[in-house]
Amino acid sequence: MSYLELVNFNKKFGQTEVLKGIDLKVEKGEVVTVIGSSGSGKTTLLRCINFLERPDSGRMSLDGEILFDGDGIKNEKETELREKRLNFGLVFQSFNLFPQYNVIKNVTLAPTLLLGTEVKLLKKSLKAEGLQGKEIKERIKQYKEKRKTEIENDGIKLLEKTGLTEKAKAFPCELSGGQQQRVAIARALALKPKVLCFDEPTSALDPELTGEVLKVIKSLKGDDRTMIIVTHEMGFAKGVSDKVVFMSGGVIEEEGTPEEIFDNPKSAKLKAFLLNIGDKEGKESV
Amino acid sequence: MNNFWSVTASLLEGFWVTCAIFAVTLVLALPLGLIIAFGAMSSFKPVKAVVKVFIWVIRGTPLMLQLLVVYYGPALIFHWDLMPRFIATIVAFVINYACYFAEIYRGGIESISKGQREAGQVLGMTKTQIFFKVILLQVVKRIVPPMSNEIITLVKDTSLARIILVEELLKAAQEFTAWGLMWPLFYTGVFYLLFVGILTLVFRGIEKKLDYFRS
Repeated sequence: MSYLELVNFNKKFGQTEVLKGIDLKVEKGEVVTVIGSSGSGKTTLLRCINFLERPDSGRMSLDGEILFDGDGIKNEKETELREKRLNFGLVFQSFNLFPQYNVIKNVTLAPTLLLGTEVKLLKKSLKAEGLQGKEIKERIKQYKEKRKTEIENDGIKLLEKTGLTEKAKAFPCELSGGQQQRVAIARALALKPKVLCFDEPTSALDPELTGEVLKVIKSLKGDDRTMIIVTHEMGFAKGVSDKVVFMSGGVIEEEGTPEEIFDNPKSAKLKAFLLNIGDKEGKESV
Repeated sequence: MNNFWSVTASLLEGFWVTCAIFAVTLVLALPLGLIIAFGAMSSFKPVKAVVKVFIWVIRGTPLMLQLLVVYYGPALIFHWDLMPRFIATIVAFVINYACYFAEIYRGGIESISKGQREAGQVLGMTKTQIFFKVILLQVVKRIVPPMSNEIITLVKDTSLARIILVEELLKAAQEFTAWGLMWPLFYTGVFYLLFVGILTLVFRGIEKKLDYFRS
């Protein structure tokens, strides 16, 4: 069984079928890019994986655990949904940083809020151990302080990794698009997701800023980090992927290694897509 | 000069009532407006429909009419005792202003991009956390200008309470016309202008304070 498995994902918006029986397997530590023209269902697929949309049918399992099966998700409690969501991270096309917080707070906010849940669990287990009220309080205080420092340090490390150390105290509105997207990546990493997803991370950026973001994403490869990247940057897809998936009209038309997809396309649709993109890129460079 | 001081003293008494109507209305209508706004955005259709009709009625009829209905209505329809005039004023004002505030809140909340909420969701936040930690301050920043408009209008609307004989600033001044004095009426303008002037400064301060981010 693969690390992440999607079986027969279907999704309709009204009458429009956006996903038609998607099957996808991703191994641990693998980088999978999803390419295809606009409207082919790439973004919807990513949103379904992140529980932002509910597939009408299908099954998803991660690391042997079934996260979603058929329409069982409909009666799910918010807490369960949140727990499942935390397996995944998502970097949006439009960054969606929290404008009222500075860079470091953007990165540490979610882990800090999750600390509340951790403390609740700890309290329960301490009570079960039969500790006294005063001692419980003391232990929780220690735990909180320890975790807060850890979260802060993690945040600082992540900013180093994304090259934003000097911008820690800056607000999103003071940053370039590329910097904002790098903060968004650090923010997603802060929760240590098992699978990190990118939804066209450079599509909202000026061409001269895409490089710095792609470089950061590339640097994340390895360390057993599983990533699914929806992108229009073919050169990047070729360079970073272990596997490339080509989507068209809500189905996976073709998948394979970057060499297979880019150098030896089999289906007519993929050939046409690559030709079309090549033309555009050619024209742009002129 | 003696005249001037006695008029001033009398107007100050009225002004105190004006301030009380203003403050109590504000304190109650601000949170009530939020509840009404959530009702207007409810995904439960019947609640949404009822709240929308309610807002339509309250915003669609004069505040003066609402004051008269609240004050005389219970007595004329159910033969209850008249309630204190000040209480009637507060009830009418709070309902009226809460509806206006609700529409401003709703506009503010709906103007925040879906992406902000989704970013919170994928980061494992609860709905409450998303509202209070992500959405709220952005909404506050956006609604300061329309809210200050509405709150400044409230300062002057307090004079409507005069219609059910509440002893507020304008009524205090009007009583002097019986003595043949016109200037106390103009004098009330000084009170209103000062009050609104201070509010304007406060709102400018809030806007400045929230100027550090853009959303």
